[in-house]
Amino acid sequence: MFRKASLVLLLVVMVFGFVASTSAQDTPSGEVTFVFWENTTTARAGWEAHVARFNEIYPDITVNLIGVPGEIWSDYLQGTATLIAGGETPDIIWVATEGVRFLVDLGLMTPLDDLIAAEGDALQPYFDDIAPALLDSFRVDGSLYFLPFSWNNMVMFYNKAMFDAAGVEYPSDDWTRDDFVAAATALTADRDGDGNNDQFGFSGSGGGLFTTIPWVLANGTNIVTDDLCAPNLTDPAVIEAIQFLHDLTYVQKIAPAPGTLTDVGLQFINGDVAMFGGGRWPIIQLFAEGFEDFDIAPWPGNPEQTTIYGVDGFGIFQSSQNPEAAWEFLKFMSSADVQQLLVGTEDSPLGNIPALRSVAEGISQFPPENYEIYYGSLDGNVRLVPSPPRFNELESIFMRYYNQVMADEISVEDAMNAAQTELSSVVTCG
Amino acid sequence: MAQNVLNRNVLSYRVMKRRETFAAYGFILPTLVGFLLFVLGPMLASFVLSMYDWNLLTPPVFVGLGNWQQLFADARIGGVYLTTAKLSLMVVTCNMTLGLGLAVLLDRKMPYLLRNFFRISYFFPYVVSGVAVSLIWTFLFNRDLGPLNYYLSQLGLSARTNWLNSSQFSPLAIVIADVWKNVGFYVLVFLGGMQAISRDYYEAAEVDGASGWQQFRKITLPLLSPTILFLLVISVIGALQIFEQPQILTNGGPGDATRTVVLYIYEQGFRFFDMGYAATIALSLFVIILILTIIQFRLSRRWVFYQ
Repeated sequence: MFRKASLVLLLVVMVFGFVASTSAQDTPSGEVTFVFWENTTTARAGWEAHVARFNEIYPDITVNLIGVPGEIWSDYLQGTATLIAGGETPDIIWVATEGVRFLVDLGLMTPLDDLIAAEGDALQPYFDDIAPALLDSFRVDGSLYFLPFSWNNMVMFYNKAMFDAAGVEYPSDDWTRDDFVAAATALTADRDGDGNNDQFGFSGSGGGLFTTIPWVLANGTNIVTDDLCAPNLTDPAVIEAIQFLHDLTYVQKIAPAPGTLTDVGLQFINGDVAMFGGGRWPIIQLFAEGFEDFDIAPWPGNPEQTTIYGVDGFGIFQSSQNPEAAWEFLKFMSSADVQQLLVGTEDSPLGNIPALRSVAEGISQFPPENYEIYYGSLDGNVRLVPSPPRFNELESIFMRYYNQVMADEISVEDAMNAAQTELSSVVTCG
Repeated sequence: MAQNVLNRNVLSYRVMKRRETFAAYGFILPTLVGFLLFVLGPMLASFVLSMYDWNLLTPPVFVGLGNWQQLFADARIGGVYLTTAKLSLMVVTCNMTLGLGLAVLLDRKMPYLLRNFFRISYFFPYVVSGVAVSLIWTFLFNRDLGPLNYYLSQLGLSARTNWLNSSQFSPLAIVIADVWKNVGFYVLVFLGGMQAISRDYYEAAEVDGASGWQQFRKITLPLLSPTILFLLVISVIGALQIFEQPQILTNGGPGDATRTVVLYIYEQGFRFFDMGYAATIALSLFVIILILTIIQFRLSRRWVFYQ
């Protein structure tokens, strides 16, 4: 009798223990490592705030942050690769369009379609509120690999004070490249009369592929073919765009000679440069310096307006040891509450545009006044930044030849022909 | 009895000798470990890596001498080495002559405080971060909005020099930035070398009626020749590996006009993700520097005078 009772007791304890252990496994827990781009001094603090909020809902998941420094996206991709080579096995990465094909083609990322399907309708509000262009940017061969978090495009910033002083009309919402040149010419001046201009209508200095290509896109073409399988630099429309940029500095002399590291924002605030191109990121510097006498205009059309855009989002590594916890983090970051933080706090706006349309409305609380053309551009002509798997090399090679053109040491045709040859083995699908 | 005492003394002498040897090794152990871990180890790893194809993210693939074939077929590498040679020649010449000139000016009787003020002023740029300094130089060198061109135009030069993006002037910009930063080291070492020369020689020469220039040529230079050799060797090794200034000021441009070998290695390894090829180029640079250093030491027998 005693033996029977103890047997029953043993059975009860076993069943109880089994049930208890499985219910503990229902809540994801453990550690995940998250790689992000540490391109500003405030980046880490921003992500730590997100993680703190995440831990309020999921206290059992520890998120380890790894910041990778870099001046441009290529530096970030290179740093991430070095990190993985060094033996780190991160679970989640924050990456942009430029790195998508690089990571996916190497088989490093997990497709998210099954994880999304398993959620049923839970993620529908997210997908309904996002412009299709943002989601498409993260699809490779039909599968979605990243969830969009924020994004940026290129618009033209203009200094209203300088426009007023020169009596030039503000850019209209449908202005063309000719309008742009006319305005820039009127805003260029030789203030000290030494024969050289020291006030410029436009500056295209600094930056890389993202800030230079919009002029090419405005001509209705791109530097690589649409399938990302070949370079397209010998296209007359591409050559015309690069020639246009060269002539701004050397023929019309309405733009300064570009250097590698130039603080265009500072020159803009100081009244030395009347217009420059940027996404939402220049707002941070302008706001920090208390400069508000500016606005933005769409990228000048030639004649049809089009602009470039790039998206960033989160993905899960195939090698992740804890994909369930990683997926919880991805879902959390796609919620409207978290997206809201991308707008910024009242004393510091952030530099990206939230992926959710309804949340993006919130950037209206900061300058510029014409904020609608940010999200609005997604409903018009936008082209994704050309991002073949070897984006780093594409940017490096193209910018090397572009800088030679901008040093006035080589003709545009010679440069583009040479770049085309050098890129034919880099941008390829075979 | 006496025999035992003798044997004990001999034994303890050997023990003492062994202890001394162990102590000696113990003292150089930290340096030795550091050398093995941070110099020899990576060198060997780089040598092995040069035989592989590795893009940092997928496992390395053995290619044997494939990277060396790529090196000899590379259209850009010749220009890169030429650029490095030209820059090195300019940097070494400027650093050595300016360093020696400034040291000669400082090597005279002057108040202790004044001498120290000069020494600190010239040496200060050497200890400051090269990256920080180069970033400031980008502001100074800016063609249209930088102060250097502004003051040059005040002096009458109307044409604006494109310091940071011109095949003609960007190498000069790099030399200026590099010499400004490093000449202090040369001044310091030359000064030390000159102050080790006994004043008796100069007094004797003055008695014989030698001019300042003759004293410099016949006394200072020969007695300074070991210092000159040391600085020449260090200078060449360093100049062939310039990286900070071209990276920050010009990023190697325009085109490859200021692309030094180390900058090219960085580009191939970390932008193009071709670590094996980058290691191969590094190896070729090592061989070239080694040969140049050996040549310098061989030639030194003819002109270096050791007291």
